[in-house]
Amino acid sequence: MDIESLENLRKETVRKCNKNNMIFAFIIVIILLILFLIFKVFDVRFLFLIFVVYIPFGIMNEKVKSEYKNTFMKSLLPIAVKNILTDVQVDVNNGIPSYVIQETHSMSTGDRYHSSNFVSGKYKDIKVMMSDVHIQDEHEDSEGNTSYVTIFLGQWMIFDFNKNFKSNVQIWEKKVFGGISRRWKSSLKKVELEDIEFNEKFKVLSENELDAFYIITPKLMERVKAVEAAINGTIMLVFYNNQLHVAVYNNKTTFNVNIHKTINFEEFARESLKDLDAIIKFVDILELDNDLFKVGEVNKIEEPVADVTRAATTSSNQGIVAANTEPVTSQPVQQNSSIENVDAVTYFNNINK
Amino acid sequence: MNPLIIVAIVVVVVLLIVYISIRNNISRTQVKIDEASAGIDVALQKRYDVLTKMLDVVKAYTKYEKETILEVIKVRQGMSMDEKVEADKKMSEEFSKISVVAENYPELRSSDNYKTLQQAIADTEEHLQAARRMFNSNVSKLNQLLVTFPSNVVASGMGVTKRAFYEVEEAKKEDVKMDFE
Repeated sequence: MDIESLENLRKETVRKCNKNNMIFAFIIVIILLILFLIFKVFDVRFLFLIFVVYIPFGIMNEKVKSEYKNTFMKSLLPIAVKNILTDVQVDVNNGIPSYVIQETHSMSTGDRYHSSNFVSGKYKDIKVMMSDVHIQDEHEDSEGNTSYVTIFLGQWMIFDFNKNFKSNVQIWEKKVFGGISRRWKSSLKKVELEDIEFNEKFKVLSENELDAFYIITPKLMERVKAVEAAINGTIMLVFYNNQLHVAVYNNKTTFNVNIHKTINFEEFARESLKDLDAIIKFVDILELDNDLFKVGEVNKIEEPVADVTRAATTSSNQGIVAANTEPVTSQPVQQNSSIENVDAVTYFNNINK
Repeated sequence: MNPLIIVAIVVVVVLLIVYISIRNNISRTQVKIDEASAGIDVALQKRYDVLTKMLDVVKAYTKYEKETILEVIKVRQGMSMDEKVEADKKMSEEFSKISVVAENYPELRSSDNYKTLQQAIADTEEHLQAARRMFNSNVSKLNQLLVTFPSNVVASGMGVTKRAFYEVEEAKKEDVKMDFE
């Protein structure tokens, strides 16, 4: 879809939202009027009614905005970042499934898990995946009131890693993640490496101490310290199943699209590159494109081990749309052309086949 | 009961707990050192296996006396640390020689087997380095326990002595000398 069509879609989206809001306002006025005529007084509890009546309208507005955002991102993101990322796949409504994170045995996915803004592609021939992840825990106070506390809000990234290994090795930045790691009952052992500064900043957990020393070389320790200084947010790295998972806890979401602003492609491209900055830094600073230790095709990324039925069950639990089974295709990105795109759940299902 | 006796009992119990804790820590560290030493054995064996395969590949292109070389380099169970260091050194020398020989045989250099084995050599070297680092890290922990109070008291009672690090050979610290003769 070209920019002119997108701009028309944006205006149509704004029009639909405004229409829903006007209908909602009209209904509320009528209801409040009727209640006032019946009770002859304006009760504060009527405000609760406003909230209840707004829910379906809010849902409709979010759906319309989300459809626009998905179309917007699928059309423009591959073009905006084509000098950095190739083979770009986008799914705004879905993200990395919770079972992928659970399998790393690193972080609890809490009582509430939500992921969105899934982007995948290749940077310097390294396959990368990223999505926003929001994890919350439910708390109940002494009076029985339930509240939700955020334990993680940021980006989760998955990269090819340039070594073959069987173990699970984790590097936690102690600053914030120390609290989360304590809450996750891990069977992994703590490993102390030779770098005192590194040990003070990070906690290393591993199934096998030798694999920790194999993966975390002195050079990698220096690079992890460098990337920690370069990234805004707190980081956690998990080396698992020949992949590197990175969690960046920064209380931010990516690719925020404002439907009330006229589309400006240059501005969007700038902001997109900022949002992909973490991917670029991790690949560049950690030198993930150094394939010295790769042995032919055997070292190609081995995808998260999970079966399709589990993915479908997880999807239904989180209200993610069920996947279709069309294969992922990648085409050269051209101006004003759309590449065939699939949602995140389909992407992970195809990987696991 | 006399308060002094109670205090004395508590002190004795606390000292006993501290003693047991330190003793267990020293024993655990010793086990970890043995585990790390075993890791070095595994890495050396892997390297030896790669060297054997490499010699098979090279033999197809040049007159290379594989059996003679493998006789000189011995990798077996229960080697002392000095023997391991010696085996490591000899294998590194052999790998260097093979690289130099391969320079004169373009067909060998461009063969897929040779390239794959080159990468395997790099990988085994990384595994060996990891095993060495882990060994030295645990030896360092043990040696620290032996020189700090009160663990040095417990250690001397156990008859535990300092362990030697896995030292990198002086030759390896120098630049690689390329000999094309």
